[in-house]
Amino acid sequence: MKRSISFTLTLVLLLAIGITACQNADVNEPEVDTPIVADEEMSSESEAEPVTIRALIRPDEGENVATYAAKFEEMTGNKVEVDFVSWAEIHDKTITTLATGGGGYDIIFIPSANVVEFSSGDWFEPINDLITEENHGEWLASVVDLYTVDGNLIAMPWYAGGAHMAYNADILNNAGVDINSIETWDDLLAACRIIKETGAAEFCFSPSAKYPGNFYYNWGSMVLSNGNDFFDSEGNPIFQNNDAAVTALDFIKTGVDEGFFDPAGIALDDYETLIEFGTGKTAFLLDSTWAVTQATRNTDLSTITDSANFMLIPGNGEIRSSGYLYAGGLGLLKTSEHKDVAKEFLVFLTNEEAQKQHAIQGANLPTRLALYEDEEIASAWRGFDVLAQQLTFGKFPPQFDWFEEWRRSAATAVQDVMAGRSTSADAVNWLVDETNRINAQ
Amino acid sequence: MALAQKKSRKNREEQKLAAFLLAPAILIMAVVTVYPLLRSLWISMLEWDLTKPFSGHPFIGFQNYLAILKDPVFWQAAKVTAIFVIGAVSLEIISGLLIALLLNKNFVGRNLVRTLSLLPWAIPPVVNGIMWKWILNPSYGALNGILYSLGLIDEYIIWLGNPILSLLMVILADAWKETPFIMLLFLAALQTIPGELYEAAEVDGANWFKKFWNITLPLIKPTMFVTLSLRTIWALKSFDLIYTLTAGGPSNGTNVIGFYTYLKTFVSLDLGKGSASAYLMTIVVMIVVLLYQKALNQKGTSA
Repeated sequence: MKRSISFTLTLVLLLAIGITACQNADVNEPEVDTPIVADEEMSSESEAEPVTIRALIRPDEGENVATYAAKFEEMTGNKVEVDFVSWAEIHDKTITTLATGGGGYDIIFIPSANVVEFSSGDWFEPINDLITEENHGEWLASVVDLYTVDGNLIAMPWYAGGAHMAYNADILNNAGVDINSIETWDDLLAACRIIKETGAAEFCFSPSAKYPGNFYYNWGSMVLSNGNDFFDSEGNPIFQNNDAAVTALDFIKTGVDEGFFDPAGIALDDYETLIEFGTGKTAFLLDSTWAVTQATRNTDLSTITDSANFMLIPGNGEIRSSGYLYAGGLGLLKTSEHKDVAKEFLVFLTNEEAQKQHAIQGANLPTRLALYEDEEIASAWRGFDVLAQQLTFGKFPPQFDWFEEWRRSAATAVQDVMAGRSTSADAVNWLVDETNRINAQ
Repeated sequence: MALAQKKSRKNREEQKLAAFLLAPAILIMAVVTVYPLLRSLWISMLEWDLTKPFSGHPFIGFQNYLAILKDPVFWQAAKVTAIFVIGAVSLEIISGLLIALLLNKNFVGRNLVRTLSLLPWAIPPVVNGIMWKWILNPSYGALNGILYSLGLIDEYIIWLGNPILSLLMVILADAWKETPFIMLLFLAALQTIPGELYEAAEVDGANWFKKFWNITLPLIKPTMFVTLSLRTIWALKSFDLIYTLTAGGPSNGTNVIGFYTYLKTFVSLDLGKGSASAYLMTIVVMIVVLLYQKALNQKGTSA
């Protein structure tokens, strides 16, 4: 009996050692030099032979990608296989794919929130030749800058977007509120009071606070539009140095306590607050470009498409408006075996025609400046001018590799205040401690 | 002498055959269980941050463990996990036993009811989470709708709106899914109890409670221990329900250690601390298993 136990243990140990020894120690670190040389040889060979390139992309732009992948195949003979990953899973799926050698993908979608994380391993091929000094002016500079890491462009700017505000014109009319009278958060609160008193809507607004990403559509954008920010350029917390953070939390708490804001917002995400707005339960919606657009045009998600309109996010009197921005970019992997074809597809998918069709479909805003003057888009996308104007007031969130973890703590601070577990000042102090702890890790 | 040698050779051959037959299973276990266990133990002692691939993976001993143990969110998660495990397992054991007692009785349609009562257990955990998310939706969820139409509530309740209520709802959703499994184990145990024991007790004038306390409970105790230890282990490593239903919120009120480990590993991308957190959870699970095992052995010895 003892002998068979020893035999089994020895076998297990040998196997474990064998597997460890066989493992490629550099699996997490991309081989920078060799694949590039190999690729140059391969790409010259592949000019004659059609190849298949693979892309990992979020599903929201699926229709646009499918259309242009088919056109690309028709034009070049090269096939594009796209794996779509849901928004909830794309961060985890992408980082594990990158860290384990790229998973055979040529192109990977890079959300603006994860540029630092996804570029930390030098996994992406610089594509500086695609946006040069000559054509730099054709693009939204802020998005190009976002995707430029250490002087290298690591992704083609595919779309832009951000936090936007929508309102239900019918509710405001019934309450006798003039939308033009709302320029500050205090104006919004005054309008909410009238809406409640007149019973024009069940709630004025619903601050979505369930997920860390909802920070864009509650406290985050409110602090920005009060003229302040959360960090300095070094990542040090500065939100405790002024009253904007506390004021914005107080604003949320007041709205909830007075019955203006739906207290259920604490358990709702940005999609669920869209549904609330789309069913006429709330008068205002602070949400993504995609979500506010759906409220005005997607009858599956909104029963108030005719009365939903856009407005600028309120400011504080001195600041007209602000709000967090986001963007989507498409990066070319260093491990790609068909870099030339993949680059060709990147250019094709982000060209003016493709972005125009994308904008006409009403998903997100284009990254090419000329399209902001396009009449076809303006006529197809009601309120496009307001959305475009909002972008000019916006700001991208800080680019730290610990921002994802910090956002979770920020969400907890908002939830604590909404649930009455903490005062605004205590929540801010707690978040300062959290920031320092996370930053020090 | 020759007979002894022959016997010894036969034994050796049998051992070789046994080793040969066991080899495939050992190989699979080694690859999918032993290796990941050893590897993650090693990773838990390295500084391994996916966002810093060029800083290498230096050996740092138990620093990851110390960092986790100093993290207030970990202790909050440990507290939530303890409440969740005690609450969910107690609820599941009590309701599982009660349903099993009921389904052990003879009544028309018993087989159909038994089959139907197993349905929640057949639902995938993620689907269960999404389903409860809709049931508990504060604006158009079924639970609010039913309670309101029955006149039991005056206004819709935000079930996932505060940490305590959220945790209760998570326990409820977990119990709804897992109770059928427990019921099934208890039902199987109940069916092994000879009917004569109850008949004899009835002759002696025992009432329902005395029969349950003196016959049923002692005879299903081994099953109770197995059920208790299995469910405790499973509840300790809960993740999917939390991920889909509450994402650990609000205010970390439903953030269990399994979800905390996920956050450390896949959100913070710190594989070292994530592995350390997973190992801390493993230690807790092992302690629980040992305690149950000891209790079971003591029971067996005393019997």
